[in-house]
Amino acid sequence: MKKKIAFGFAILLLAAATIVGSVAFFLSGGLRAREQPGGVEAFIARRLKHLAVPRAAREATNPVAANPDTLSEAMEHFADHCAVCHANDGSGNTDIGNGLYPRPPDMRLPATQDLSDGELYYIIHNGIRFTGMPAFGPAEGEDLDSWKLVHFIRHLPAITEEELARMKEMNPTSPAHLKEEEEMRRFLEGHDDPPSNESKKHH
Amino acid sequence: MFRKLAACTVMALLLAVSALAHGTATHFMGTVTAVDKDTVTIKDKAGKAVVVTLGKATKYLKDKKPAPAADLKVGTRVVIDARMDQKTKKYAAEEIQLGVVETAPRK
Repeated sequence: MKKKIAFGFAILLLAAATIVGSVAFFLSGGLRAREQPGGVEAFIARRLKHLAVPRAAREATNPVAANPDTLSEAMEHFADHCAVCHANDGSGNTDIGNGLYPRPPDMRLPATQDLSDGELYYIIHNGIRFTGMPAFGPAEGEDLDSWKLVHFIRHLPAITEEELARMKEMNPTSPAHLKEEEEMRRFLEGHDDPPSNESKKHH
Repeated sequence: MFRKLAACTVMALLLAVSALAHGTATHFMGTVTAVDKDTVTIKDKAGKAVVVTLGKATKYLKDKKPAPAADLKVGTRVVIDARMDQKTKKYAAEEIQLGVVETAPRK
């Protein structure tokens, strides 16, 4: 009887400590997205992500042939849909990317490049919960666009300055941004328009 | 029920993240008044001097094509895409678009 009471007391104590710890964590800025995950959290998350991809999906091979047309199409797709978080060069160094928790990975590095084609496809197609990575493509049926993106991700470590310049033209833009671009173009060409805002901070 | 609650929580968290994710990317437009290995100083259109640090990662473009860093000279009109370095509290140039070189200094 005493053992049962002691056991129950220990459980209650543990529960109370967990609650107090959790509340303290959240109240001390635990929901802030500015910090990077710690080494242990990142390691566990990477392992879980790996285990969460079914073996059949991991071993799937890319049904789309790699050729210049495929790469060009995927590049356009990436610039339009992915670059806002991942950056055109795959570094993840963007305003939104830098504000996410966890940050998007630098996809040029081994942590991404060492994933199988199937894993990359699975991540693009299904997204990753509790991160900023959404699921892309139709829920049912073939998603060839995502397979093409896998080819482009493989190309990222070797992307050229010319390709990056082309991608910049393909990035989504707003009327205000277009106006700003036009203002910059005219300035660089030597025109002297009336000054507007000298520097533009973007959020 | 739990799934709906979790989905709402994640959605709220993502919205909060995007609302709070203040970037510090800035464009500076001006004419180069001084340049050395590590920094470039420009005079912007309002006449204000702005110093931006240069680095290995800084890209130089002319007519949207890669250009050598040596093309950054005093008198060149530039648009600098910079980001505040949180450690040094200085703007670091990510990309510099090079324009015409002014023969006479701007007033």
